[in-house]
Amino acid sequence: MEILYENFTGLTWQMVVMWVIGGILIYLAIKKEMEPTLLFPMGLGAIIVNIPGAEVGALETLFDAGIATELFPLILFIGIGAMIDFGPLLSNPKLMIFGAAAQFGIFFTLCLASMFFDINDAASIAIIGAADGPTSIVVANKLDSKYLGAIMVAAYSYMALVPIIQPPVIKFLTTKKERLIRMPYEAREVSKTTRILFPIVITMIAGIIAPDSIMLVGFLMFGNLIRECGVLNSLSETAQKVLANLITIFLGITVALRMQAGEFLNLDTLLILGLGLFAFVFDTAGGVLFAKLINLFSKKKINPMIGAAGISAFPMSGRIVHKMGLKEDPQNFLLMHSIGVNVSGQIASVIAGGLILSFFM
Amino acid sequence: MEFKAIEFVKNLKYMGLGMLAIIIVIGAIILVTMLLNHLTRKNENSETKSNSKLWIALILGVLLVALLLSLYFADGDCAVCLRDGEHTYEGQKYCAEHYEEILAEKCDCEGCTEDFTHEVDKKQYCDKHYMEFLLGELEKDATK
Repeated sequence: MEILYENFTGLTWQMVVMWVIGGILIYLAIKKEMEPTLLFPMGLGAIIVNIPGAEVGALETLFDAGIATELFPLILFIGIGAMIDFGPLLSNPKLMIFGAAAQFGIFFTLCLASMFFDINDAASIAIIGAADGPTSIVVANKLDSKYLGAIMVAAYSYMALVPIIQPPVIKFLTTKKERLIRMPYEAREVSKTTRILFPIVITMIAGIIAPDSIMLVGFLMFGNLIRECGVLNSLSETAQKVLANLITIFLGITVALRMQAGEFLNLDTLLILGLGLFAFVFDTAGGVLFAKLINLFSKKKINPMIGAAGISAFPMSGRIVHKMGLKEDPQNFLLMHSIGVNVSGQIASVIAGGLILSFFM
Repeated sequence: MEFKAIEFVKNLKYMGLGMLAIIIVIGAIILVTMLLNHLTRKNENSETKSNSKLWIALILGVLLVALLLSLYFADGDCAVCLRDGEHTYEGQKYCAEHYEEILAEKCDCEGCTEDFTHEVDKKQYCDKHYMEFLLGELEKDATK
């Protein structure tokens, strides 16, 4: 009979805490529908890897094959690229500047985190602010951060918590009058040539200036080129649905391998979660404040809320800004602008990741 | 984990450099996109076209300023990355991490950072430290 309960002797309170954390992630995924594709497998994975004496060799194999080699996040980028429509951005490319401004939180948090961690770990933690899981994984992996698990969990959790974190920050930094600013959308024609050349040009520019970002940008733009070229529709559909879903299933549960109680439950993890939140809040603030700065000089006023969409969480952030605009004024449609900024945030965060790699590799 | 407040100030240059670099890359992308739009849009009135020319000129100006500033900021003197070069090896400065790498790659002498020229019992020495080693051995023999 001993065989039935001998594993109980290996059970620690930390493991129980991790089960609770896993349970919370599953609850948020199912009940609150927060990023369920990632939080659900992560939650279950957190429980699996914290069973005393659990044999997790298969997860380790997946981790070595897909995350240690950066293949999962990069392949996922093909799917994300195929999902993104750069149309709103291409019709008004000036919006891209908000994507750049919203990366402020990353670089500020880098300085802040360097007070507690060595510079490579600090850089990996700062990237959480981009709210871009795949970029966080690639950067943390390439910089050989020992906090990969906590960084991945923080990045994906904050992606899911965009609807909770961003609105109070935006409200705090804007007045009601600013939130009421209307931005009429002028639909401008975007030629097919521009749509095809855009991903190629971005890959080249980003690759030349920040060569370490070439894989991130290249895979993202490859996905987009499949979508825009018009002759690979079945590939585009596969990349958007089957490929992205398949990788997401494996990614979520594999990430959980780094949620073992021994390495996850410590003060460093708490600090990383705090700094990640800080980076995320400051990214949002950077975009909003930059829009306010432009309003000081521009005749045509910009609704500063759209600046907050300059992060990578696509399309949640864009939609939230749109919803906030509608809440203030039911006739204020900011969707096309905020989605344009949100798409530029996706590009800018990948480039920010590449720049950080260039600085510290 | 150790709290070092000075690191915040030391690393502020990455914030300046990072934001400048982002502005340069995104600025270049905006510029190219506007040019592409300018060249490929067929039904655009003259007012919109002259407006976009103005924007292109403005962004070019901002890019130029950002480029000059980034040249000013990018003064980390490690030969490999942008960190400060605290160590010198063969006339080049290296940060602690890359200095370790260089040493591991190039330096074989037991006593210093020079390349080895002699090998005794799997230990490698440059000329100077080989002589010291020999002298040491002679002294040992003499005391025996």
